[in-house]
Amino acid sequence: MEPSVSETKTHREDLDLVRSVLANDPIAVEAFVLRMRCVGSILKVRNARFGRPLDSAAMEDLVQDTLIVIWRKLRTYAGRGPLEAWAYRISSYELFSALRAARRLPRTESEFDLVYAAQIPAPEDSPEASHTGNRLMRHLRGREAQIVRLKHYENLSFEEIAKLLEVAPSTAKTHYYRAVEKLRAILTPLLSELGTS
Amino acid sequence: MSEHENVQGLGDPSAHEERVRSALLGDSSVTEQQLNQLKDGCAACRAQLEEHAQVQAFLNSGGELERDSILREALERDQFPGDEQVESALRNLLETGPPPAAGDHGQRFRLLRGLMAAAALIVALIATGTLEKKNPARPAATHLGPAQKGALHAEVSGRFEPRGPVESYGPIVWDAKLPSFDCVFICNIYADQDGARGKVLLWAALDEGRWELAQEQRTALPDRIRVEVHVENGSGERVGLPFSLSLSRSNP
Repeated sequence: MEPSVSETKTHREDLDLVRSVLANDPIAVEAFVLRMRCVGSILKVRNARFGRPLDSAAMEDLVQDTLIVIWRKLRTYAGRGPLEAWAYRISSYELFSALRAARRLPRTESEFDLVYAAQIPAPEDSPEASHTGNRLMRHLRGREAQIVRLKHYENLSFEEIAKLLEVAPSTAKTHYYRAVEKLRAILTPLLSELGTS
Repeated sequence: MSEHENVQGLGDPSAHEERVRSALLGDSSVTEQQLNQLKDGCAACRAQLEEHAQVQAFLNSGGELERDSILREALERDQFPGDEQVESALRNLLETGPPPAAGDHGQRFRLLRGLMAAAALIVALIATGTLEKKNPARPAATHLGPAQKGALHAEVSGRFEPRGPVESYGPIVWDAKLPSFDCVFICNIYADQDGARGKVLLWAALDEGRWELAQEQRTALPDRIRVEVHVENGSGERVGLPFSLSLSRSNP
């Protein structure tokens, strides 16, 4: 989908902000710090939704580590999306890395289902619950669900997913291909079911 | 299931499937032209590609919805306990100076960095026994070095473009994967002409295998340059060996 004019403009403004931060513009630095305050909040909300697997000390470390990665990667921000979305993606990866380091990242199919099931579910009548993407996700289990979720919901690359799950990138891709093929087979019946309901 | 139709260069159904799979996975080995050829020539593949795109669009949209919901909750809460520490930690980081920078010319830091890069390359080449006597008359070749765990070139599939004489300097593209999330590509452009050989002209930290130079940067570059790419980890240390190529411009 082509970005709308306003989105493009917003992202360009974000890119300009980052460039000014890199040029040590104190006003831009202040604006950037305020924008990135969401990093701590994102991590806390996500940890809460997962049932608080990380305690406050681990969360403090995680926030610090994430900020360092954001700082190091700042120059790679290309303005393809809003600054917060870019920070969200970095936060996701760091959160999953912290869960893995704490041995809380699900390693088996059933553990994965349990961890995601522990998320506070969206209300039945919410847009999230009825969204076709989420309905499709319910047809996947185990490794396939894990990889599709990390790819589309956490917005991670195959290389990042492979690293997190300690598998080869080719393995992650194979699971992903099989999963999308499965969803392709059920998409038409699902859409007609939604259309008639 | 529909049968695959005959498409030039794709003899059997498995070749069609392989191309569809590569397209779904965003594999850069499939060009847009090959993809269009497949879509135009095979109705079964076209349908499959369209359905894949539809599935991916629904999943992407579901992901966006979830991320928006989390972001909204995070922003609406406004102030979590400890948020002020986040601000001060970030301020402290920014006060230490900017991270590795894409740059303009001639700063002392850059020159020092270039020297360090050259020294590190020599040490790496000696350590791996690949240092060779160079014939000054021979143009520098692309150096990929021997495979080793964690090295950048372990995942280089060969593309590093453009090469040799070019009409103008286009985007610099290489097929390589970053070994981990906290790593970045450091791409250095050196002068490759007598009198200035080895001088760092431009450099950038990138998280993808592509560097599109701005028009004014392209114009300002001399007619002979050398491009070198290496990977640095989260601590600013080199990972693996660099690879490089030489370029000359025939139509400045």
